[in-house]
Amino acid sequence: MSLSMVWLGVGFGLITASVLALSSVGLTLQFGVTNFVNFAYGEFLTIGAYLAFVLNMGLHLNIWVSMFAAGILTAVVAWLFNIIVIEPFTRRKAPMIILLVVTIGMDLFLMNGVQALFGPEFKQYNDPSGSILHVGGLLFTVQQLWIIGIAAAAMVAVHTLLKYSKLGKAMRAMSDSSELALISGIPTRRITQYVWLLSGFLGGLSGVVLAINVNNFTPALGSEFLFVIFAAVIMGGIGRPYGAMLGALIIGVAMEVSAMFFDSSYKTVVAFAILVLMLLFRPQGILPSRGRV
Amino acid sequence: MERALVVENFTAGYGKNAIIRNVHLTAREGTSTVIIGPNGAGKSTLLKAIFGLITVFSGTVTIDGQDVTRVTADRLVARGLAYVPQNGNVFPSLSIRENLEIGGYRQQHYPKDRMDQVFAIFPDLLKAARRSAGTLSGGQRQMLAMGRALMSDPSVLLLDEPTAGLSPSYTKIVWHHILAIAQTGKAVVVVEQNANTALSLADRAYLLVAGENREEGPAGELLEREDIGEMFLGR
Ligand SMILES: Nc1ncnc2c1ncn2[C@@H]1O[C@H](COP(=O)(O)OP(=O)(O)O)[C@@H](O)[C@H]1O
Ligand SMILES: [Mg+2]
Repeated sequence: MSLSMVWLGVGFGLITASVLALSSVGLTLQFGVTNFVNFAYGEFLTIGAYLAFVLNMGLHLNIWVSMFAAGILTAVVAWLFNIIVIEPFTRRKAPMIILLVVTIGMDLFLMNGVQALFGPEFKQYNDPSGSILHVGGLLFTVQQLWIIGIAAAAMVAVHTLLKYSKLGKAMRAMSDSSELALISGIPTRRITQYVWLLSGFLGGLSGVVLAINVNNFTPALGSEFLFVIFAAVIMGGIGRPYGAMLGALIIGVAMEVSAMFFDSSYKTVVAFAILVLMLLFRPQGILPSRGRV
Repeated sequence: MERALVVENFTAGYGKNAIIRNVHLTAREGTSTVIIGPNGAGKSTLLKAIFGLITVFSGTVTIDGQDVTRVTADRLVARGLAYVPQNGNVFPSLSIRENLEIGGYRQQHYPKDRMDQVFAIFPDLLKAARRSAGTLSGGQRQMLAMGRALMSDPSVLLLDEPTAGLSPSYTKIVWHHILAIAQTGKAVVVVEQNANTALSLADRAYLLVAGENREEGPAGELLEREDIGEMFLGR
């Protein structure tokens, strides 16, 4: 058990944290505004990964171009998902449990849809991982640095949106109280649709970088990662985007450091254990509560 | 004085259940109108129904002569109506300034001078502009809630029990603001538990009992009435 192995784990952890930050922020923003957990969210990652696969392998586009385009297409998928599947229930003020069951059903439906189209076998992108660079005593491939950079840029963009734009402030207001937001004149239905677009975009990006990071993937890619996302989201306090960023960092590093010492197939178990402990002892998340941000 | 808000034959409730029946209410520009009545009389329900938040079965609501019955809440703001609910009337995680910005959401741009006007009315808010609303005291919160509603420059302002839970001194301050806001030409409609104070300060009053109009008139006259005093003002 050496310090250098811990350090190595931190390096991998930063990459996993980047993948996780994208998806956790996407899920938690949508929860904050709409107040229910989307159990089909993992499929946004899967759909993003397979759309990028089509663009990268079918149309021979560069992987990062494919990723960005897949993010936009997944945003549209999420937007349609809300309008076609979710809105009919929210319009009737269906109880939360109904929405949970609906999203769980949609998770299975979408996963099987992807499998029907692409088959169950492993897929891989054509993406040279590039040369290896030393950064602060850590080794990263150029590709891994891209992943970290993309996640960091996305987090800055989300922060700017939430803190400085009218749309972002409306999202935060709805996250505090959608009734008061409506009373204040905010067109809450439209803002909700924007949130689904954003949630799908971040989920799609996350799915592509996850697929790059794990090298080869199946239609179960997203749903297998969903509980890791839940761990990060709950650690940060559900509905709180800045909390989700912090949760992603902690969970990502914890998973990869543990993988240095145990069999790496246990790292999801580590995330799951943290999730259960959080739910038991601090379900509101690690940040001091001050309303949601 | 123009009639800013006119409610006629208004029947509304939750689901299929009518709570208020055939209610009428008129509020004029530049005046304060108070709605009193026992707990559960339907005062809050009336405000929610006017603001399009619950089912309206029949009747009409007009603002400045325009029919706005069944217009959705978010659009009513653009039609000159603003509403401060009794509970949960600020966004706790947003700063005071952001709460006010949200109040001006329907304007094309954040109305900077509008915010300056609101800060001029409530100077305490300006001092704490960057603090999150969740940290405010009950009285400050009420000021912010009113300020948020004023950001859309409404012609009619509905307030649900703005002095509930406040100390007598804060109650006086809130009423001072209500009267001042009315003086700027707005019609202010206030639901009040604290009927004695309200009747001694407001211009007009309605007494609502069991979802129906019972009495109405100049507030001072209702205050003088022996029977109303005995039954509803605890005298
Ligand atoms: N959300 C609701 N759903 C169903 N009934 C309600 C709801 N809110 C209030 N009521 C009922 O409507 C009646 C009037 O309530 P309310 O308007 O709050 O009275 P007030 O504000 O005069 O005290 C009460 O009988 C109450 O039980
Ligand atoms: Mg009430």
